[in-house]
Amino acid sequence: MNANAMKRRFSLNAVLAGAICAVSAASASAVEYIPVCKASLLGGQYFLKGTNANVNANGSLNVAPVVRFSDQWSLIPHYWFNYQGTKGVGDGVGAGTLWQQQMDHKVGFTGIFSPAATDWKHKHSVSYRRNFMKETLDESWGYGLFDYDKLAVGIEAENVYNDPFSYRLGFDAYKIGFPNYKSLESQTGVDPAGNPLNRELTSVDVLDTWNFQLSAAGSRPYPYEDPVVSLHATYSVLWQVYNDQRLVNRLGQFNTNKPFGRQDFQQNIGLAVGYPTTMKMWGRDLRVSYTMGVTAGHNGSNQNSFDAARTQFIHDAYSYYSFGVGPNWSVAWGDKKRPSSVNLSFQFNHQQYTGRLAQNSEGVYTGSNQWQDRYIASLGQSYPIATGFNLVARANFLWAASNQAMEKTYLYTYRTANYMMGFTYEY
Amino acid sequence: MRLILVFSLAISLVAAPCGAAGPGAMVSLSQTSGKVFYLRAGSTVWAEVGAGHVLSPGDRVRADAGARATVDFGDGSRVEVGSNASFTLQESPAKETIVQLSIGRLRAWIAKRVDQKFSVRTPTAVCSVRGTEFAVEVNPQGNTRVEMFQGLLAVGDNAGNELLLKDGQQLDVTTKGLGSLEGQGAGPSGAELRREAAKREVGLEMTKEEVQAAAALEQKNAIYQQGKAIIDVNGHRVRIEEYIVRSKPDEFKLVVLNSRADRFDYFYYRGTFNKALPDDISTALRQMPGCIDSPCDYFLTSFDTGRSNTMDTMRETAGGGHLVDVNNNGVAQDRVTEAFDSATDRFVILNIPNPGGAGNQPFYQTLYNTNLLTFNGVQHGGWTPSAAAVAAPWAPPGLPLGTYTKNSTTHITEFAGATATTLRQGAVCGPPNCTYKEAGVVHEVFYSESVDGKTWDKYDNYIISDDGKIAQWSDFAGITGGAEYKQTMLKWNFQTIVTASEFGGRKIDLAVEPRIFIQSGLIQ
Repeated sequence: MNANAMKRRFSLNAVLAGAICAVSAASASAVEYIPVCKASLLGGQYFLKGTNANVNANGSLNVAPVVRFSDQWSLIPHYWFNYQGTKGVGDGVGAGTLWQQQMDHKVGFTGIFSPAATDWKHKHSVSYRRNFMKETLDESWGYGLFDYDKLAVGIEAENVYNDPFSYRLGFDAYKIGFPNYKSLESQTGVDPAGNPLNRELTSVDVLDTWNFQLSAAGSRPYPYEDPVVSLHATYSVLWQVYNDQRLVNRLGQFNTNKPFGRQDFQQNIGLAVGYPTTMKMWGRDLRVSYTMGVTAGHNGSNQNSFDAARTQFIHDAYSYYSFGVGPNWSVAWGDKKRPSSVNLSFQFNHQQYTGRLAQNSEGVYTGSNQWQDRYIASLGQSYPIATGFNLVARANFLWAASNQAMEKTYLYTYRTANYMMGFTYEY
Repeated sequence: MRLILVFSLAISLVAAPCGAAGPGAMVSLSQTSGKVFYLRAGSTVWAEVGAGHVLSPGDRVRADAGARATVDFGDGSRVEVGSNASFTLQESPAKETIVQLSIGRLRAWIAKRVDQKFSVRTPTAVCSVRGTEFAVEVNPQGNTRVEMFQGLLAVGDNAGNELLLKDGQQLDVTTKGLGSLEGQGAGPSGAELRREAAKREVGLEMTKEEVQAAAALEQKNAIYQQGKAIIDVNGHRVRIEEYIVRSKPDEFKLVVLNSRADRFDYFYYRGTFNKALPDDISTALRQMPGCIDSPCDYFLTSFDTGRSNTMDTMRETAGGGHLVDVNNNGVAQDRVTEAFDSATDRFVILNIPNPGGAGNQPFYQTLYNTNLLTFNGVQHGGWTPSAAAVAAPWAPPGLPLGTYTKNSTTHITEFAGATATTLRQGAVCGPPNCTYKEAGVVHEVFYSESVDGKTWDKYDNYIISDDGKIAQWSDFAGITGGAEYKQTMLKWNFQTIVTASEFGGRKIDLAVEPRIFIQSGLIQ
């Protein structure tokens, strides 16, 4: 399928989804059929290191015509479309590209079984996502180097013991594939003298992964009988198998360790406490929510790397610890169904590699392990203008600092910002 | 489906009891207007009735069109029965008062009591309340509408959904369950609760999606961090892979691969050392550019390097390599005044007080007896040993004058220096077929051609940033020495586009780290 045909198909998908959204809204009164629709259209700009990208648009559409067969059985068909013309501050700044266009299409189905007379929900899901990315002038939709697709299945058990408080336990398996990314080495032939250019045991689909994730999450009011705060906790462990990425040894060669090459084992834990309260200011009743969250993570990888240009072997190049902390403050006022709101958040993240070596600005390895600190501040406002419609404005700022001073191909110390303004619709 | 509506007052919000009613309290019609009828329990005959009539359990009251009746319960509670409404005072337990509304509308003012419950039943509902003011209306289809005027009311249906009605709120209840709350401060209805639950599930799904997508983003960033994807000077993405192959015990091959959307280019360097390479190959490779002060332990005896776009090839080979202290070999032209010290990853300035003589800072470098440069197999340069002295004596670096023949004598290369124009075969030449530097940006063109003009080759060298912008000379401001310039260049990317008379208009386009070229001697 050529790029234009794909573009037409995706446009058609978006139109169909919009139609579903409209029809869903029109038949909202049905009990067994609960349409959920969320859309946004925003315009904004991205700034990096004092230069700015052109004004571009972001849009998304989330449609889920939920089918409620009975009190016990529900099915959530789900379609998600997303277009991002303005980069987010959290997006990678590799290659320094100010300009980036991303498009996502995702289709999913989640079946929910709620046994009678219990607080349990059992969920089974399957989904497929295709991500398209254009970052350079010679890339077109469907032919981006880092396009990827993801096929996922999952099961989850949730006990809503005191709505909205619950605890959940889930397992997901998903495969991420980069259809346009094959190792260059696997595509080489011979040099003019007739000798092979590639190394032995060259892999092809080096980025493709199988992922297996166990996750647990819970929330509860505290004190339970007369709540003052809400407590939230999450934990996940992800086993990531790179099916076609062999390990690099001390000589810069590949190890013969099929069927398993690189494997990563990632754990994350998050804790948060929320304190909702009310206050009166400027003659208005304000609903205020303070949240403080803490996260910690560890990625253990068996992969190394070899810097051929500097003939430097780097053991344990992908393992790291991470830590994050940050408050969130939101204020809402007016009708609870159509509130005006302001949100302010700050987040600090620290990532410390356990084996990856830092380099000075000239590329010399310093002997210290790489680290990076990121400070993210976000400010957002939402104002209702019609039923379901909100006028929104958001601004995000990110400061990053690192001991990795070699920034020839990737930025580690930088400032970036973006702003977005537009409309959201929710039904 | 029979729908049971239960209205129950939130106990915590109930005020203290006020007054007593219950058993023994007299229920009577306190006021009537229009035609109001009653049907005594056990009777089948309706009779018109007026104010003051006492009602007994089982009695029914009906207000005609336009009529109205007020029922007083003797404890401060009262119910107003509206036009076309039918009302029954039912038998009830000791601490409960129950009325049945079959059709029409009633409005109730119920006294706050902790020991007495008041219930209103409709064909499809039972409403049990204390201490509140509300109205209930039943239409011919059995649907019920509840209006709250004062107080707080928890409403539940048989599906387990519950709602709180506050002052000024209204609620419709159909056979399908609770409807939407209306009025000031209305909370969520049953349908809204189900919608919120659906939204929550969709939200959880999207949260999970974000977590899973983060894995893909991380993989992409790792590629960038390793410099495997950059943007070239034309705004095209270049994928880069570099690796080293130990092809023989004493031989290695360094390979740089470039891939763009529509082309594939590569560079290779195969070097043979004076002895078998150590396990840590970097020990030998770091000595490739030469060794300062003391002889190299590992040095090249031959190399074979090339660039190709898979159709065209530029290739250079050399043999007979031997180690020479080029700063003290008596040949001034061989001297090296600045050298890349791989041990420190820096260029250093060497101390040469006596060029061409002795006493200079030693620098040991491989010099080759033979050299051959070809483009698609056509020789453009190099030298080979000559049995006898030639008419125009020439010597490659480190070798005696007159014993070698320079194969590139038919080529003339003229460098422009810092100006935008230069001489080409004795005449002023200009871009594009000339050696020159583009004004303002670090773009240098090296052009050479044979005297007869039939063969030529051209190099376009750019220094570019990670996003493909050509470096400005101002980026190198204040740098005066070549060593310092090269050192700064290491922080940038190097793009070189090679074309030649044999390529038929095609090019070899390589974007690499300059270190590769420096290390391999292609940048001096």
